[in-house]
Amino acid sequence: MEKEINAGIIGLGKMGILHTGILNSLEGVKVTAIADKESIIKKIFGNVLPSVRKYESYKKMLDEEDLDIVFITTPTSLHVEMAEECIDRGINFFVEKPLGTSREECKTLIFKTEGKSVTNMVGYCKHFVDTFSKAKELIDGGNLGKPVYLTSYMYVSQQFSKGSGWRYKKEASGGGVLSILATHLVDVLLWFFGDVTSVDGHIKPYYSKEVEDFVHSYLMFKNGLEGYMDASWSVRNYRLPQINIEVQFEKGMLVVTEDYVKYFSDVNSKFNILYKQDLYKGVEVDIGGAEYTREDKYFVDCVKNHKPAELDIFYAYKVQCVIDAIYDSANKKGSVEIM
Amino acid sequence: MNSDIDPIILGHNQFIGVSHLSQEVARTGVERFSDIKKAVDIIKISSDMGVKGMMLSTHHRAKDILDLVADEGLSDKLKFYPLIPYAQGYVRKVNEVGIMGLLNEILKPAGMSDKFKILFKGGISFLRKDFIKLLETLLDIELLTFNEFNVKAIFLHNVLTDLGLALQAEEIFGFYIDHIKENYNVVPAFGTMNFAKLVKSFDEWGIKKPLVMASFNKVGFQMNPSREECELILRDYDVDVLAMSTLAAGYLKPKDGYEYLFSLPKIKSVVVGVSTREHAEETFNLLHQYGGK
Repeated sequence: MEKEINAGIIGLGKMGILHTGILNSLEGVKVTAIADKESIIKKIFGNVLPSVRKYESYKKMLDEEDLDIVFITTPTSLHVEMAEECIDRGINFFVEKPLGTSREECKTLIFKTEGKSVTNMVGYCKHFVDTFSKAKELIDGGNLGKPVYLTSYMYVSQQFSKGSGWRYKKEASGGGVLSILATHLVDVLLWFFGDVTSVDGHIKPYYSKEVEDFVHSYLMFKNGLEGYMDASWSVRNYRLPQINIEVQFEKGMLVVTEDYVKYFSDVNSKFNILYKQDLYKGVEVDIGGAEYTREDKYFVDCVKNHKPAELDIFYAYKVQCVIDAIYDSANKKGSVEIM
Repeated sequence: MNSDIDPIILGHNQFIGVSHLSQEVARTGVERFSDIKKAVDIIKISSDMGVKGMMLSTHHRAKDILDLVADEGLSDKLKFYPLIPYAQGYVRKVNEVGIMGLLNEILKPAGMSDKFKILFKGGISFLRKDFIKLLETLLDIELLTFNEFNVKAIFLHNVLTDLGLALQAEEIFGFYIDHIKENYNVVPAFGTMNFAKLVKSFDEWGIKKPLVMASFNKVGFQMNPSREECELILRDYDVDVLAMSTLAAGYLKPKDGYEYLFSLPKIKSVVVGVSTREHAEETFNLLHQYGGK
């Protein structure tokens, strides 16, 4: 019989609990330990998961447990340090997005993995949403020709007063809506269209004091595509976060959201629309979105088969470079090139 | 306790901006029903057409809707099916203030209410130490809104059911069932996106004939791990089902959706959302035809 994968989780916040649930349900995976510095978490999981060992110190957990994979689901500023501890011990790790609070921090981590065979992955879960993967297939298929112009946004109704907690402290989060939420939009755009060469960004705090609530940036891609992205967590009537990407191509157009992908090809002059219902495939267990289950399965599969994950820390570094460039550009009030 | 639930239950998603078809539809709904009287009009139309049950989450608008329902003299005509907690509200709150902040905020009314002061000597610090007591209090706070209304069954939101299921938290399910039965004398019920896994686990844990709200539709939308597996479990296990997403969130034509649904066994009831008089007439007439009384 194939050896069971032992999993450990660091940080039992919203995403930590979600991944614990999913991993606990996957065939061939066993959650053996969790670490969180809040003692109430230990109490709660004492009731719910009696056989899982609980630690307040994650380092102690890494030292004492025989872990094959570790999920790092803590505030962003702790990611890199924790990932380094995993690398030192040769443990494969998954980090929630974004990887770090700055590109410099991420760069240090990448150097540290040199020569080490540690499988790693960053939680850019939109790659596992049916409509986005269908859009990627259509873009790569080539029938629409070269991408020409982009309009895109990501909104959610979340912040209409000064927030509290790590997400609203720049030191802990790396930034506001761009770093925490729109990192997903930047990720999807890089995944679809490749490297960005320059940005012209603007940010605006309003409700939050330390971080931005609104961000807007013009983006130029290496493949010739250009256009803008806009994001905010202070827009009304967006109960759930939503991404909307519309691209004009040489020979057609495409719109994609979490709900549908719609495209038009000049060849047959026809609009096609595929809803998420058309693309739906069931999963072993769905807790708040099938994409998280697929994401965790993909990572476990990479670890089992000793193959690198596509969404690794180097990919996440590229996303971080675009985010940092938007902040730099907003601060210096001019466009910034990305090397 | 009578476990017979109403065969047609009016859903609430359209009133609070939830659509599983698309967020665009959801946003239009919010705009249409931002005047809460319009929501109550729909409830009245549905009641006139023979609908006797209504599901309502503990969204902050629930209390306003219930107050108006009572003012309109509809509360005696309707039985209520609370869906607790309003999960997205919790998720947003966690994003805003973290898990500890969320607990503190939810427990605020408990700290202030005399009822809870009497029930929990020692207050919030005591609750933090005892997880089961904490859960009891959370449930009781969520259900305060429904105190004066005729409640038939209380559904645990799918996000919590599915998390408990994924963690195989048998003890928590046992606690929920006992607490709802003993304190409210109504049917404890469960929403889920994982019908097959939940029913199998309940069977292993000896939870008999559960009432489960799950998606059943021709295209297998939100049916995990697959439509085929859900159908097999439905056939082989002793379970009562309240079907949701019967039109795959507005994707299917009503006739196609209901034809499939009523070909299945053990579907006790169906929850549907309607937004206009025309929509209500089409939906309820068809449901009456297909077997929903």
